[in-house]
Amino acid sequence: MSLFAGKQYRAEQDLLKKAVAGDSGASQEIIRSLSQSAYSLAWKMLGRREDAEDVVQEAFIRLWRSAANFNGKSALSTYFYAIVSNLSLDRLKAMNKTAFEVFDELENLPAELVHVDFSDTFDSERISEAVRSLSVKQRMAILMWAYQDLTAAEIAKVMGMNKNSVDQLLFRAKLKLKSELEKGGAYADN
Amino acid sequence: MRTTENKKLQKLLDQISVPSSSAHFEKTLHQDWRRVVHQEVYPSHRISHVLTLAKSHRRLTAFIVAAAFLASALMGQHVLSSQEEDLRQMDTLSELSLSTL
Repeated sequence: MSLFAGKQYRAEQDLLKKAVAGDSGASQEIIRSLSQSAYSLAWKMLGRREDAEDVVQEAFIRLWRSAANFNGKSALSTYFYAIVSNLSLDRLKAMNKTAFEVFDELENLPAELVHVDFSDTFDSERISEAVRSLSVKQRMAILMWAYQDLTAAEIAKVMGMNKNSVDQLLFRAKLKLKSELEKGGAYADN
Repeated sequence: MRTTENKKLQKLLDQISVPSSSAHFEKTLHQDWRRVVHQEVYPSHRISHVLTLAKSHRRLTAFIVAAAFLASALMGQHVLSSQEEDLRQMDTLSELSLSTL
């Protein structure tokens, strides 16, 4: 953690403390800086505006209530995205229990060893279709991997799975994304 | 390596067009914040209110508890010693009355 980042995290911690103590300006600043990106993440996970808004609303309530647990050692956005991911995961499990329980075959392919180049440019609709073609668990894992910078072991903890399964999920998700993007005619299969 | 890949992946995923949230979304979030803060800072229940105040003023609470403890110890000691004094006086009086008899 760089010195600058550490200072910024502590400033965010102070801002959160102020908001929880009743400072309206501080709360507005936090809501303004986090709400849209969190909504966007929740929407990508859940695919419905109402669900994404509900999750973000609940996530903010949890943030206010668990503010004391934020230790200022990471960005407030990372802490908040973790709450959003957990709530989205709960909602997905409740909405689509069977789809979530479908177990991917286990192969020992660590996600860190699989590198897929996503630097080409694609149009927005094709990317959406490619992401929708992923299974619920693959989508969750790849979004947490990309946005929260979590390791496979950390994602496994959040999703209640073992590390090998998450490695496998990430591996398959990346390959599927790549093949769907390259195919051009991406389609949704869930 | 991981960071570069993540950035590319994040950049790719950021290109997904997300429908905008409802018009009053941020306002709703702010109302939620007010409700939660109001509940936490000004709880409706009197005991919860006292507990919340105690939590937010830990040093003062510790001082009040220590002072109350000390005061009750001193009071107890005073009561005990005054009882002993009373007993002693009663003994003296009874001895006096016996001797006069």
